[in-house]
Amino acid sequence: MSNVARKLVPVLLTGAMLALAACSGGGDTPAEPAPPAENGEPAALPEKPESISYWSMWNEGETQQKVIAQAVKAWEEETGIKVDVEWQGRGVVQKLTPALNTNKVPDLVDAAYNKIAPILVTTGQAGSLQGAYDTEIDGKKVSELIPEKYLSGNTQLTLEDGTPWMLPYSISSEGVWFDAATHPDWSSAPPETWDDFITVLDELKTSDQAPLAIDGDIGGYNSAWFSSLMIGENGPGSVDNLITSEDGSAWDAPEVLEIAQRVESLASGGYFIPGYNASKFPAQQEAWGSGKAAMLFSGSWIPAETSTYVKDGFEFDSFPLPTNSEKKYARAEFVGYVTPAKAKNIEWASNLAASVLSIDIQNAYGTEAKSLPVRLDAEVSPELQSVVDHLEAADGIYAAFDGAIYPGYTDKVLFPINNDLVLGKISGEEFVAKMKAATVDYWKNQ
Amino acid sequence: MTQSTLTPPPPVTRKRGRSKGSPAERGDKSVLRTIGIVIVWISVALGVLLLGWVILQSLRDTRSILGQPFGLPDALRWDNYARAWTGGNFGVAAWNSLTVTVISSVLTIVVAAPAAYFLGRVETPLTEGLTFYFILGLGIPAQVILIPLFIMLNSVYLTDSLIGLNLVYIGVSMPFTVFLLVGFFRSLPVEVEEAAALDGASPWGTMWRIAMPLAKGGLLTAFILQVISHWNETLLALTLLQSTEKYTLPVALISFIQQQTYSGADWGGEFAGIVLIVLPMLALYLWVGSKLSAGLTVGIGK
Amino acid sequence: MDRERRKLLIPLVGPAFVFYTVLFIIPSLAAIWISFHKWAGAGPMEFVGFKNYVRIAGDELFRHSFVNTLKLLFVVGIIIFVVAFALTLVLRDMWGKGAVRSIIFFPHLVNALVYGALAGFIFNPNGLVNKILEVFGIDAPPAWLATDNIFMLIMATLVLTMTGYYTTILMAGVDRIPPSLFEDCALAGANAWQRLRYVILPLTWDVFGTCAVLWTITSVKIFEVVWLFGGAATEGGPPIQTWTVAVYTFVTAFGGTSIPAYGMASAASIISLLLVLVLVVLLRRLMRREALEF
Repeated sequence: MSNVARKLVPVLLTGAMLALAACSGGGDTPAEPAPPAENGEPAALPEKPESISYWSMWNEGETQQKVIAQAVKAWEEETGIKVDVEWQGRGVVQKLTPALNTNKVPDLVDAAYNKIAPILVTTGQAGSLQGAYDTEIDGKKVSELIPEKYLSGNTQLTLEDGTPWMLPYSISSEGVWFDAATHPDWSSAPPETWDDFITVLDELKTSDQAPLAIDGDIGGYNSAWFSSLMIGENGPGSVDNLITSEDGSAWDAPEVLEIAQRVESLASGGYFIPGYNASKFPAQQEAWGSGKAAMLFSGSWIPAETSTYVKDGFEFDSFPLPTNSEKKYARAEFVGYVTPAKAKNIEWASNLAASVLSIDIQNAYGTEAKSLPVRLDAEVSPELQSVVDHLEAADGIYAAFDGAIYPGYTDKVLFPINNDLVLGKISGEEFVAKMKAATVDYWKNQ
Repeated sequence: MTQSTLTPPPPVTRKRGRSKGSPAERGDKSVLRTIGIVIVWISVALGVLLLGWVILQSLRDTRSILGQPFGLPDALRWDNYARAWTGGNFGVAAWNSLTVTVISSVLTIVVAAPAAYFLGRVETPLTEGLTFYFILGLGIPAQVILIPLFIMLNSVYLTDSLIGLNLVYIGVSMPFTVFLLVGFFRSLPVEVEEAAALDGASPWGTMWRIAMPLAKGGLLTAFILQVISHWNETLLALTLLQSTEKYTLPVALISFIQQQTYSGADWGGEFAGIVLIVLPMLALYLWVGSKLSAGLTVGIGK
Repeated sequence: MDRERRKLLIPLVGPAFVFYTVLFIIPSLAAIWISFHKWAGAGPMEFVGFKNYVRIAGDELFRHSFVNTLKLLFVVGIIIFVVAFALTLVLRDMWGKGAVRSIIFFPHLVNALVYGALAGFIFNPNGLVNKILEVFGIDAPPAWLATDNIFMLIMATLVLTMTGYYTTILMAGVDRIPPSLFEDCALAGANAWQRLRYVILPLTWDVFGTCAVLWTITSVKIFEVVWLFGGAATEGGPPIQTWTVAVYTFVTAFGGTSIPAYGMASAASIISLLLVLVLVVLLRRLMRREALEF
């Protein structure tokens, strides 16, 4: 116990220090969410509608939902406009896609960048959020609150003509998650290189814990291994280079095969939890939470998503996916607001979106929702501190699949073939050959 | 299909004691048959047990369901239902399902019965062609009309609308209902109507006062079959409805199960949702069971 | 009387005709029209001729879905019919046949989504089946919900839930056979096989034909049981190993993970329509034996 505490203290301290720094940096203005309607450019806002509609990617009861609901309530009181919220859950993009072709589009939608961009941007259906970016929050223009650093990760928050189409309020990163109460040594000295990592995994194989949990039915989780290892070793842009290789030649590079073989070795080496190929999400994530597996390579949403069912005394911590590269890269993807071009109340929807960037909401998002707020000056709960540290120390930022928003590529080309690799059905060589052929095919059909 | 005489189906005479079979039949009761009977009873028992088990589980909390799947509820946990009713939106969805099912099924019969009566009673090349035209729709899978319906309804502001869904259900029910009822009207004796006509009743009056009351059984069967199919319809509802307050039960079940993947498994709530979908069908079946299979046979038999 | 009655054509048949034409036939024709275009649902439609058909023919996802639909149609269909027919023979004069008949018919009235959802509980690694197997000392059960096995489970589920329905219909056919015929059989000393071959089969042949047509139509639009089988559909639909043509159509048009491809989705649905048409015509040919009067 005391041992655990000793390991934890530094983590907690850094967290507290950062929070302090954040507070002093962000100005001492606590108080309520800024009244943007008054400080901003009132001229830009049309007459108040009775209500606006908002479809959210969160489900009722999730920690993130509770914070967003607070923000919505505050804004309703502030403006007197009613917000019709539909807590659609992660299926929100699936629901939105057909709705975009109808005359019943919601005014505001929040979603993850890589899910919403292919649907909205590539079809020219994104509305302008310029109004949100121009709004003043906590005495600053919203556009100044979005950290420059996160924008380097191949993600485009603006359309080609410079119009901003997405306003992020949170980011997602990733890490290898573990229970620091069981494995305190990984908090202080995490495995640094791929070989270190394999050594640790090998040691775990002799313990009563499976080394790695993974929900093998989720294509996105399975392919994070290939994508993050590839970018981790070869830098941001290396995956984009593979995807956009119309003649497939980029897939012939030896480093691609090497990464594919690493993933293959994870499957063939028996490191994944037994039954990972035969279950439905979130069965293996739950198994990890109950201590049946030691590590879970997944997103920064893990503490928020699993805190209700992890075993008693569980202490969330994570380390970056070990790579041999000199330079260290961190994943950061936006979660944020968009508005369909056909929406009727874009201006007021933008105004609501901007209010979520107030420091109060951002703090609550970092602590109560246990998720990474987009503002650097916001507080973050200790579970996420290691992720924040890695983001700060990183030499570069990337998005999953290098922010690929080529419609259909990830889900129809990459996921099926990569699933076979992760489930141990094909070798690294076969993976590369199949991906090359499928990529050529994909571009031929565009 | 081109059966021109309106003969009623041959009456099935049931001799008393027939179920015992004739002496010769009893003679060849083989081992195979006995095995067959045993298998039938086992599977029937398993089916009934499964249904009972689901209902019981819907009253237990998730942790004990996972721990001991064969346990009995320690207390009646109606909170599963409360949670499903509000959090899972099953309350609104049950109401939507109920209204859509009843309204669309009633209107389907109201629209289809007169047409079927006419097509079943009047024999011309035109009516034969029309009958065939209606039956043609039986072979068109729902996925074919999915996209055009979505576009058409949108152009008249009827997507994400229960009125739109009602209209669609009536439209897609026409082939089967007309097919079923044409067969049914043909099986009804024509003599009473002829007598009424001779007495000077107008064709319109004959239809309303003579034919329709005679056809009550068939109309009820058709109505119940529509209730079943509209209550369970999923693909069209999933496509045409976007906002949660418009969901019907199947769509709500899908979204409830999807929610769980992120908020942790809630088997108690899920079982409660399943029971909400299944029980009305069970009640309906217990009520009209025999009529249902009888009605089905009339339609299918020819 | 007939002449007077004929005047009622428009008031009586008209409403049904309009509903059916507007909401069923026109959409079907529109689907054919859309299938020749490249269209994202909004914006311009680009005429591409048969290109969508060529593209889906080369699309592994579609081929997979199509093969699955054929499996449901033929493999599941044949099993259902064999079992249903055997059941009919067993049930014909079994004690309690009324009760059995009612019970096995019921699963047909339940939304297939329910079976998919239950399968998630029954077959997941800590689920019911494995708990039962544990009792029997089997601690390395098959990976039920592995993406490659799910479709087998779906097929098994369909057999279990649909057989009762077809049994009921077949039994109605068998029940129509006058008992006197069986008595004649007995007097002539016919054995069980001869009774089947010379009495039951010929006299229920038309019911068989109807059932076959019915199954063809039903199986081509199977969607619900696949959509939710074993748990929620994640990331744009269930695992592709389990897709049917209906699922393919829905995902391609409304899946929400990529730009809607209405043209390709429509082409896929038209192919399923052609499949039904060809099979129904074939079945009618095949089943066209002289209807025996009895």
